[in-house]
Amino acid sequence: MLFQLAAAAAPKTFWVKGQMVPFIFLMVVLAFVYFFISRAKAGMPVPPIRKINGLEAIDEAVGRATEMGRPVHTTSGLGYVSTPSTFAFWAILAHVAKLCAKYDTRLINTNNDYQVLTVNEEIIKQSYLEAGRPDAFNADDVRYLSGWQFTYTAACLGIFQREKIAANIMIGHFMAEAMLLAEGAHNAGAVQIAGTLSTFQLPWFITACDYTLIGEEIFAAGAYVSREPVLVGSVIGQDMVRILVFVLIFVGTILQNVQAKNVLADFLRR
Amino acid sequence: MRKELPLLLTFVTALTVVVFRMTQWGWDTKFLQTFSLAFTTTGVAAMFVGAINIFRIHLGHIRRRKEGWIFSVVALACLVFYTLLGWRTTNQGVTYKWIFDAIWTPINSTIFSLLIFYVASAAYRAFRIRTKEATVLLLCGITVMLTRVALGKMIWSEIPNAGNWLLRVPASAAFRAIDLGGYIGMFAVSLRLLLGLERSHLGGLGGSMH
Repeated sequence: MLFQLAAAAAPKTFWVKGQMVPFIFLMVVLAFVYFFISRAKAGMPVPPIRKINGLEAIDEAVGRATEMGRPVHTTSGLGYVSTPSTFAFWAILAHVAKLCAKYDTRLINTNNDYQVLTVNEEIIKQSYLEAGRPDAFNADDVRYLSGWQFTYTAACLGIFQREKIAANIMIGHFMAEAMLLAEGAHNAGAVQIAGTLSTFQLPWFITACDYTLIGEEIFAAGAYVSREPVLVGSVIGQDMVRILVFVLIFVGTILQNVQAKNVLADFLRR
Repeated sequence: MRKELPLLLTFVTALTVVVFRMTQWGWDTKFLQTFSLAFTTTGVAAMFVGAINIFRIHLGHIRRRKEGWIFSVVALACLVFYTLLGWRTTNQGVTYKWIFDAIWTPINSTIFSLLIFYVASAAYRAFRIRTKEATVLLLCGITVMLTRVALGKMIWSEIPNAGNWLLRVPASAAFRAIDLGGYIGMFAVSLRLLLGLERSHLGGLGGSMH
């Protein structure tokens, strides 16, 4: 009874349980990112981003569509505005839209979410403006199809066949419709570049698409296509964090096997 | 200002959510519940943007008599009719529910079931042995497929063990590595948003590039 009263009277900690270490981790990532951004901005050498075939192929895919006189299709799948992979898609969309504006190629963007639609429309419009072709922007090619997964898929498959798309770029959050979209675009004769974080859908994309961005590769897109030092620095900082995480896993595995009580695991749970 | 204001709003909102979510103070003040409600309300209001987009595109098709314009008429008629029906009878109305259960659900299931045919055609392309990687994929694929059916055990009693090992060890290790990379990537994107470095959502890669 006394113990219960003492526990009830104990002052609450400032941090929510399990949130102190994430905060420290946040600060460590921030330090890495800041360090590499500063280096990149100062023109000091930073490790280069390795060649990512899927991102290299975007120019080729838009070029193919231009030569064939057929449209390019882009989608972020079922992602919402708050989905991190949708942000990766937006970086690629801006690049694709600029290329399409430059080569006067039609760009069709289909959407499953109305909030994503509004952002996509703005990005494409801005990209056409920056490419000096605001007149070429067609608002009717940025389409909201449906919020339902398979209704959206069926509408997409119809667009692939009717419009005879030459390139299909799918980056974002995908579920069971991934395979339907990939095979549908393949049947329409499109070259395909796909990328997602979902390990369940990646095998389908690898099977059905010409190029696949695996996991975190999609997050390097903005830095990769722009070569902006600030973004490149942040991606390198992110890679350094990955090395740190690898070291933690390695040390944690050893401690788990040699100690009765894993001090590292206990600390990370705080 | 057109870019600075959204960046400032993003920074303030993201920082507020981080601080409120990580500290006891945030939960005590019930700020997060209010924030979540505001987010949902904004999302629902944006639904009209989707409806307007559908109307604009299909009315354009009808006005220009584009090929297949009659389907645009059907799509708009269905949209208007079903919205009015739901408004009048709520989503528990007999006709509303019947349309959903007897028309929409079977059509939806039909589209989903098409998946098997698409999987078969994609698997055929992937399993054609052209490279060493495709050969490994084929062998692993066949082993896992045989693990899932009784025929596998009849051929050789160790096939289920081999298939389960493939899923449990190499496949699981690769999936975890991809997931881990993805989570760090998400973390970095969130941080870039917080710091105002990620500007792709503002259009044209943020305008400062290229």
